Amino acid sequence: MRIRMQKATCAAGLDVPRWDIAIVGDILDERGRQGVSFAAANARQTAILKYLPDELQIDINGDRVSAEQIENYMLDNRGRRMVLETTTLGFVEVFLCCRAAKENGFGDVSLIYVEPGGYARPRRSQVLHKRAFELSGRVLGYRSFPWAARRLDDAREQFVVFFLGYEERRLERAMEDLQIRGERCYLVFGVPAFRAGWEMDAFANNIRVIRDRNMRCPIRFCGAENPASAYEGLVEVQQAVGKDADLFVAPVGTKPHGIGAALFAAENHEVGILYDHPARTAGRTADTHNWHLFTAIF
Amino acid sequence: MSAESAAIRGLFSKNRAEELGYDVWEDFVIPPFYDRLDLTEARKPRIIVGGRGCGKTMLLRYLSHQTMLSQKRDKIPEEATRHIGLYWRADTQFVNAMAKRDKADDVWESAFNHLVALELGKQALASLQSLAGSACPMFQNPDLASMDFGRLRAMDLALPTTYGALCDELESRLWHLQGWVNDIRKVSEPRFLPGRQFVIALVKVIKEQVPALGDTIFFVYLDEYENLRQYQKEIIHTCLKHSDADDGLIFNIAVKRNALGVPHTVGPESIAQIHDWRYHDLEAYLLEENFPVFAGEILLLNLCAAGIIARPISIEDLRDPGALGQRKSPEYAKAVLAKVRKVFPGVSQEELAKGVFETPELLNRLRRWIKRALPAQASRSDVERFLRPTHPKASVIVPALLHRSSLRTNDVLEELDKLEQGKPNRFTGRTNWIHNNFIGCVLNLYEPYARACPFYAGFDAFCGIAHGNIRHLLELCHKSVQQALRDQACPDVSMTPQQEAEAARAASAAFLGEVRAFGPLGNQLYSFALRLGSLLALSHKRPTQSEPEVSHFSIGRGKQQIGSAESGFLQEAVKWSVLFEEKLTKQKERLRPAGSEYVLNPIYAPYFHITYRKRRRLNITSDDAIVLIHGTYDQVKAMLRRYSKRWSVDLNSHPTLFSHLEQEDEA
Repeated sequence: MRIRMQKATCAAGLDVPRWDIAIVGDILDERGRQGVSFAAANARQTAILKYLPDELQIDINGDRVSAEQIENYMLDNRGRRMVLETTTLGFVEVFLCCRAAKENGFGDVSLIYVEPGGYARPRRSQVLHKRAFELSGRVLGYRSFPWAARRLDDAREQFVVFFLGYEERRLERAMEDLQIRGERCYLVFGVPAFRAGWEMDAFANNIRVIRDRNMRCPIRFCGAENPASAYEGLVEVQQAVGKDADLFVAPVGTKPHGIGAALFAAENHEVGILYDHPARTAGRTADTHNWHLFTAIF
Repeated sequence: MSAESAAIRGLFSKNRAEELGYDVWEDFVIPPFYDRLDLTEARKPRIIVGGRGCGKTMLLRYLSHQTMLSQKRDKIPEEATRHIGLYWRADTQFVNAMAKRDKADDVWESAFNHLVALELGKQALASLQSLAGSACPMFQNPDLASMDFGRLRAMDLALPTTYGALCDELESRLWHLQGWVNDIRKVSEPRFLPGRQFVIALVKVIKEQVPALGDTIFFVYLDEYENLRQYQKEIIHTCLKHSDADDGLIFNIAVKRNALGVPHTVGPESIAQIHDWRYHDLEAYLLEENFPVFAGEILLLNLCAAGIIARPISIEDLRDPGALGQRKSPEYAKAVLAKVRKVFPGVSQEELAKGVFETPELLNRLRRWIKRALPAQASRSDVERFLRPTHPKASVIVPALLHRSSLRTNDVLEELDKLEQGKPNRFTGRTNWIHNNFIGCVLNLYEPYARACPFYAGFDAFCGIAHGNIRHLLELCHKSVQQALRDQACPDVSMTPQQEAEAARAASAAFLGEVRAFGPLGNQLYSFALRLGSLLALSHKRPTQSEPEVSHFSIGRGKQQIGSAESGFLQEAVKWSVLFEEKLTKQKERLRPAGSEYVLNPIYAPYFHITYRKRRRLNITSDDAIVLIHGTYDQVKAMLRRYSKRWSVDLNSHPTLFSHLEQEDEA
């Protein structure tokens, strides 16, 4: 698989083809609105896709079907050019689309991603802030889903690659709920970050969990905006751990890292995915920054 | 790093059973409640209940074949071969995908039963390997090779008959099941084995062919049961309901508190306590059975295993159920506590008070607070009259007494004089102002101070903060060691109270941070803990200290009623040990129906700078409870402001906890 990457400071700076279908998700912020609008404007038709983790179903344009039936949708659209608007799609939707597209004769898939202008980041201080008093979103937790269901078994040699962002609780929840052995992990940070200095949030927040959980494991760095780097990193880890070991990937960091992980898992069916299905909240980011167009060539 | 410093650095760091592996023989200390688990007589399933970190997994792993038949044991008692434990922690992230997906419910039920058969079948076979590799002379490796499992073919003709081949077959079928669950449209459906019936058949074959196991009962220990899907739980309930010693197979499960749910089975019957199972509450047992001595033994075992101290007690006795009686003797308890208190020294109330007089910043704050409580015209010399270095504890509580409208300034001075002269007085004796107010006043003095309060220091304080939770205790001790190493002390492994207090604060903050990862409502539980902790902290700041050390709350009548959503949330908080639920004590309103009171887990006390001791209760209305549980931020803010006004607390003087209330005004 090859991944081509374009980056521009605005949508107009991207060299885009004319797509037949744009698959988009729920709009939660300004960059999502702009991303969906751009994808829809450059495609003949638009489909809205959402994965429903409790039901193991997808909702595609209002029709609810079992998640595997994304294959039927891809078969129906075989030979057409497709773009995924990944600013609004969640990780599972991106993975299901990429895997179904690859398995059903698509030669390539385009993926749009719009960086946030700024995050509503938790401030790193000992003082309590309003935000901490009003957290309420339900988190389903780590639950497997079709094409990514692998057994964790500590009697086997298994390794987990975590792509980390600034939400340390996602790593913490995985270590708590799944009882993964710290020495069998690889931790990947997004460096360089989207903006200089943002990587410090990821380091500072995750270091507590890494220390408290005694995670003596390799740490790697991949550009936060670079899915190809994430993909290549996974290939390297796969070679390092050997064919007899089981490999899991936990994409709980940046979306471009999630795209790299989704493409890697779409190609390597024996890889397991650990994902916690967070409920994304509206207005979490402000404005837009760089625009990306990735093309995965299968 | 030298071997010794590496050993010190790693001390108490492994505080989760999963970090120790399946054979925990060298790490397990027989708990004081061990004889209450009726292991030798058990013919019914057991439900083992307790919060995170209370030792459920450690106990289950101890009872399982990997430990009971451990190669580390010089001798395997006959008892160990009569009860063989099969530990299974269901991989709940994987089994989640075993539902829906255009397959009928009965297909998934069969698939889950198949998983039960494969996982427990593998464990039953592995227990034979453990037995053959152990010091037990009755069964050896050649015996394994001669076993014939041909009778299992009644269930599936494709099953092999030899030990090795059957192990491999069950493993291969697990891989097939995994592949099918992963991609049910492309991978062929496995031929399902009949769950419990398969395991019973396997157990029968084993018992027939291994004379040493003729009277053996196999005990399944299922961990993390609560995270299974509902239909999977019902299959397990059915296994519990039909557990029969005559079949040689009894199911047991470990659950968090309130996590059992409705005990339906797959049939029309449900399961009832006592008749169908025995219920063991590990936390309750630990708190009833002198937790400090057990905690001290675990710490001493760790210190001894790391080679830091010579054998302070008999390590063999810690692993011998027969030595429990001796370990419960008062002399033994005294010796254990003395040794561990030496490593983790605490601070007496007298020393705490002296510390205030010896620390200029704290003494000046005490002076300022006395001055603030005196009439406006009071002079510096007036203030000094209330400071009695010979009676520092009494001096520390003076500001609280002066703030009380029922007491005149002269009353307090007169009582101080009487105290100094050794005459009957109200600081001690029946009124005992010191007993009632001292800790509240000390915490108040320390709150705005950068250093942690030594009230949280020492082994006894750690036991109170840990509240029966071994993981919390070990982390408090581990962080103390880290703190001491940071201060470049610790070679003789004795911490200072200040290091321990700083460690308690750090551990408390870390454990509070973990709350967000507690189940689907983790975020809400975290906000709730912050809201409740802030309210209790506010209560501690009352200048009068009229109700010092408020540590828990009950819910009284308000305009709104507590509904199922709020009750469900409180149950979730109890399940994750954010709260402990206890029967109401000391009801002031005599006619009120009996109910519950809720204690904030004392592990969070150092973070909020509040007491870890269960002392006084705050009665809040149902309206306030609803705000704490899911009110908007503005409602929380209004509630905290209302209480601060009622209790005359100046929010500006407590920037760490309450600055956000002021920030919002500025915004």
